[in-house]
Amino acid sequence: MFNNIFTYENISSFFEYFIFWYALTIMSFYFILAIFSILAISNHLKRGKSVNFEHILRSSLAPKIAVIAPAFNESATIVENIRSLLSLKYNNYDIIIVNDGSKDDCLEKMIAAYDLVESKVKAKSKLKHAPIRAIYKSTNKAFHNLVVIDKENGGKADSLNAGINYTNAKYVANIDVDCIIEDDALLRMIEPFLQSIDKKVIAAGGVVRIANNCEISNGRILNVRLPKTLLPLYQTLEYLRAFLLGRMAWSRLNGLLIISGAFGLFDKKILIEAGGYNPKTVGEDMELVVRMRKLMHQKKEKYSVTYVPDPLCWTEVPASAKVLDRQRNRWTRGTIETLRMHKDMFMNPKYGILGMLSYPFWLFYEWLAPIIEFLGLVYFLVLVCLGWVNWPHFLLLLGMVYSFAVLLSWFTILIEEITYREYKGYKSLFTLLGVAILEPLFFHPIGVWAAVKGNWDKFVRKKSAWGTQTRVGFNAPISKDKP
Amino acid sequence: MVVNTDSILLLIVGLTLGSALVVFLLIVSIKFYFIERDKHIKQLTNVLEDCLVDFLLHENEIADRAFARIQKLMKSKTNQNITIELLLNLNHNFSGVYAEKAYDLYEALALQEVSMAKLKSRKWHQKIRGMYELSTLEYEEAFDAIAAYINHPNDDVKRNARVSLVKIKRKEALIALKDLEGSMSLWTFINIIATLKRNPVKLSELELSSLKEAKNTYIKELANELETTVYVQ
Repeated sequence: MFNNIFTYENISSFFEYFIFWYALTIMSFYFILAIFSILAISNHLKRGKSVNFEHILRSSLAPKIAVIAPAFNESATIVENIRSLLSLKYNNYDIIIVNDGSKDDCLEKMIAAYDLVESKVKAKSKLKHAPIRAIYKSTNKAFHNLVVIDKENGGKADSLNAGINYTNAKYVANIDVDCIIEDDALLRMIEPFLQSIDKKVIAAGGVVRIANNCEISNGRILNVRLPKTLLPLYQTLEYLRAFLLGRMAWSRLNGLLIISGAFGLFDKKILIEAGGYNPKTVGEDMELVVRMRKLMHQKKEKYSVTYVPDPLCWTEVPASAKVLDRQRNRWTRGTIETLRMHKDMFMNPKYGILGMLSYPFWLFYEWLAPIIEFLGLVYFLVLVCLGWVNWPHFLLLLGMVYSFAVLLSWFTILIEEITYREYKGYKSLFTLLGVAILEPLFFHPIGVWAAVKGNWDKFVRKKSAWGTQTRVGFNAPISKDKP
Repeated sequence: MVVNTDSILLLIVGLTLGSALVVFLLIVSIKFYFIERDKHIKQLTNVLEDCLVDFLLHENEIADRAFARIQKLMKSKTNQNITIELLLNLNHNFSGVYAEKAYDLYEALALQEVSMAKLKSRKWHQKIRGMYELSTLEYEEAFDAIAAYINHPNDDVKRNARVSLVKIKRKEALIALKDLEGSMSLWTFINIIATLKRNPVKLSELELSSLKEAKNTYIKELANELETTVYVQ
């Protein structure tokens, strides 16, 4: 009987139908997300015209925020980065730099630049982390809100937990120390927490943009420019798509599963109640959000996780294929780990939209999509070798996927042009439009390959380390790679 | 049922390519529109700023001439809105005589009618924009019109109405808010306190205690906060 089922025709048509319907559903999903995204951004911008941050900026009633930034071997830029953080516009905030066992002279530089002395500070909560060596505070009143925690190496999540333990702030903003944060970012991020009446906002994310080739002075973006090289250019488009289309839509649906590790603001009480960051995963940013959301569902409290579409955080992205590959590999492993840790949520109505929509979306279209794409390619190559390719069908399928990818990117550019218009002039516009045409052919395969390797590393090599990613700083010409 | 995927594929490719062409044309047109609009705004802002400086810093003929020039420019909605924006900025940055003169200009150019029209608009974001303009420039006649929105079903309208009322008439607003329904966001709370700190209001003991006895717990909290941070000043 089985011999009749497993014929070439049956297998071939199964694959054809499967790939067709898979592509169609993914495209439909993205189309729906794009609509939700437009609604979310449009609402935000309409409201933003009449929001006055002046009162919150000056008010002593503004809740305290702790800006926590882990630092590992950041000697080259740490002093400048802290200076930039010290000039954020907010009335009531602390900066907590967690030196995660740096092997360079990062700590010494901070001590010298900011007149730091050892200080006795008691922990306010009990999240687990590697042992603390010392805590420093400044003797200079100008830096009264700066705290430096020196601890043994434990990774990013571990450092964030340490920072959270030593603050009495109501909210914690967890950032990458080498990101450039807009000076009004805290005001914009705290707004949804303060505006909310009937739902508790437990976390908010800020849109991350690409800083490669931007004109930067004193830790501030002076002139936004597109990157000069192709890889960062592709990523510019990718970030625009991910933040303006994806995350804003999920925010509107209240189905966000991730807040970028580069810049997120959290309700500290809920974060601690959820158990803090998990140092055992490389996707600690996503895993934390999922766990916080699960907790709120268990507590049966109305809540939301939101995204602010304004460009608030600027980061340097990998300019070399090797570093990019390592980053994407890690992102894939982080996604796998989070999804496996919380597999009980899959299609579980108890978790509402989270279990019924967000989780399945991440499972089928974020984790499995690159694998299916890769297997599809292998299958196609086998067919080519055997001379069994249905060329008209193949070309039509390819045409559909390719044209939709370009359409989606152009649509994102349209949203950007209507809303923020960060990239000035026609030259930038046509560069981005051109990049959108090239991206599916040249950049996308790199991402797919990195994701496949991420799966291999996770399941076959059982890899669980972060890996390293070197940044050269915003004034350097190209990114280097570190072994 | 056998589905002919190739014909569906062909249809989707056609639709996608057509949509891509439309999106492309939209992007280019929008880019062109915004570049031209920004140029116009920049030019007009420069002219208006010069006129405003003349109007605010001088008396008699120079001020009259500046006023006449501004009035000439008030023919289009865009120009009116740019002028309002400039007056709002003036109000943020200056106080005393200049702020008063900015208000006089707002009235003399009948721009409060533009803001009132926004307040009466059916669109929620226009309503809050109208409130923002009227309250920042402290147009007292708008008090009743804004008071009608303090329990509006739209959260943004409701929040902005509450803060705007306090900006326009401090004492009367507090009395109006006494019978507030539902809760108040921390954002609204902070904005009200900050407004009252900037321009302290003198409440009698009776008025303060009546606020403290309000049914709404948020107003009670507000009264307590007023007593400690504003009222005693």
